[in-house]
Amino acid sequence: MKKINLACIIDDDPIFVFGTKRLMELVGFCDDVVVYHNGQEAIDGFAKRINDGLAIPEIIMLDLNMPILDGWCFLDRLNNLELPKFITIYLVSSSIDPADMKRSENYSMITNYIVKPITTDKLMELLEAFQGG
Amino acid sequence: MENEEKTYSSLDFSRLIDGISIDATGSLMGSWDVDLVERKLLWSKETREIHEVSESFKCTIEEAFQFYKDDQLALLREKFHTAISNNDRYDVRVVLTTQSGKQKWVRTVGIPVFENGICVRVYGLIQDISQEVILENIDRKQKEFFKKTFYEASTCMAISNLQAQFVLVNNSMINLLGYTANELLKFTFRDITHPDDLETSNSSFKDLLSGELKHYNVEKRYVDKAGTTIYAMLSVSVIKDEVGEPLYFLVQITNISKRIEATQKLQSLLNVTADQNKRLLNFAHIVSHNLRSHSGNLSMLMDLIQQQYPEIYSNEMMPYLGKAIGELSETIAHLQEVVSVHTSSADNIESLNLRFYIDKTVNVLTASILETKCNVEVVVSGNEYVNFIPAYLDSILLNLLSNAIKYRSDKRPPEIKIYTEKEDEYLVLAVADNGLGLDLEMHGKQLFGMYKTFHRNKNSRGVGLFLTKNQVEAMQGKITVESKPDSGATFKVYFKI
Repeated sequence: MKKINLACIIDDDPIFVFGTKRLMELVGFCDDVVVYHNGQEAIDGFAKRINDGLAIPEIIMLDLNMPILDGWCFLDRLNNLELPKFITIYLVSSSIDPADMKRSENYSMITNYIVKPITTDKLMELLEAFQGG
Repeated sequence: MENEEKTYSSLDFSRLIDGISIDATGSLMGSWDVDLVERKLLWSKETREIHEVSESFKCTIEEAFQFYKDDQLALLREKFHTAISNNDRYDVRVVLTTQSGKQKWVRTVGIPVFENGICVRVYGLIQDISQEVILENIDRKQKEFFKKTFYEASTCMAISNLQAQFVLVNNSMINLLGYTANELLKFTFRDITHPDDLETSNSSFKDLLSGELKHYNVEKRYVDKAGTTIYAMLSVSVIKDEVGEPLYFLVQITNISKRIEATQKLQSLLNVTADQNKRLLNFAHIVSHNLRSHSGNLSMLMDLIQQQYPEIYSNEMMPYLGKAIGELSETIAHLQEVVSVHTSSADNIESLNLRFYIDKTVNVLTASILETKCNVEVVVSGNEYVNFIPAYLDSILLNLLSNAIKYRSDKRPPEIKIYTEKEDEYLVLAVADNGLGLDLEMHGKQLFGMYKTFHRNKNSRGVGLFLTKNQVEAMQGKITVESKPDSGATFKVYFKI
């Protein structure tokens, strides 16, 4: 069975990060998690990882509203990086604004749009989808 | 006597009035002749008519004078006397009192005839000029009337020459501009026009002069002596002479400053309202979004606790905490639904078949319709269409129909009738039930408010009708209700055609 080695959470909300990490552990979502607190931090971290020859996360849980560099800008910047492999990206937001959902459809790199809160059931679904894909 | 009369009648009038122009058109004119030697007086037929005496009337010279009274008599006597003594012709207007006592204006012309330095005869004409005098009087009164109207009019009026220089200004104009009449008469209109409006009516002014326009109206600003800007409605008409050459401009100014100020105030209020509305909407967005992330975190943490620390979750307070968090999430979801109604764009509006959507909703509710043994009658033809957002129509129908089922009465088998009717520019969809109904006098105003519930029904959330009203109104429609306690309710949705 395919397994997620490294997952990435990009979110500025420490409670969400804490909770998601714990839920991931609970369901055995992945081996390791890397956390960035905003888009800029994530871009810098990804660039450094590529540079250092470190592993790139296979799956990203990306928040939309963040300081410094928000989710949308992160996606634009990520496009410019030469990624060694395909990354599954989920938008994870509290926003149920149809405009945000519509906008996410314009990004081919986004696999799905997930409305917070994250639950064990939702994580299981993602895991199954990842393994199935 | 007969003979004399004849001789007299055949007198040549034109010779008589030689050098005196008399316009005899339409007015009665007669002649007279005083023989000073014989001391005899002759009147023509017309002269007798003017004096309103019989054809056989005869009188002495002195008696003839008695047709004039007081100062009129004095005037005529003096003229007659001068004519006799100085050989002076006379031509006067005097008031004659006729035999019947009527007063009339006459013009009488007297010509003396001298022989050997002695006046032997005076002859002349008498003309009834009452009509003329009345006309003159009217003319004078009209002039007076015009002057009064012009000067006292509440509208500011002025007459200017073709160079736009003031020739006449009325009191209102003086009051409006704060200049004296003398100051204004030195000005042209340009001098009192707001600098930004100098060119405003130039072309109209030219059209007026060329005759293309008879008058024009324009909104313009003026500046009074104190420097205050005055908003005015200006109307200018051109006054021409008999051959159509422009003579003057008649200018009228209505002070509309108050109206303009009111409009500006209204506009600024409108801006404030629009701004506040925008901020409110923004606020609602932020609140609903931020609240959602917090409630989301709470839910997530609860989920974690439940899974990782089941022993904590067995504490009797935990389920209550869980319920509170769940209800918080639900409330936020409602809030967000309401907010989204006001932000959805018109792009999503489609022409929807009403019958199709009704059937769909009835289908969704089949379970509760069967369970409650509710009789649903749909009297809507298959070719009624409304322009609406599909999700809204779904939501509205579901709300109204599920309400009709939810608030049924136990006293009778529930019946729901759905029908349409046309009213003005609306297609009206009615959902009528025979359920509990409600007291509109008590609850009517709150019925469509948020979180207003009126029944002890545990399923009442108080969101449905609020949302429905918002959705209907967002689509330029309206919703009404007719109801009495315990005799059902009829909700009517007005779809703009």
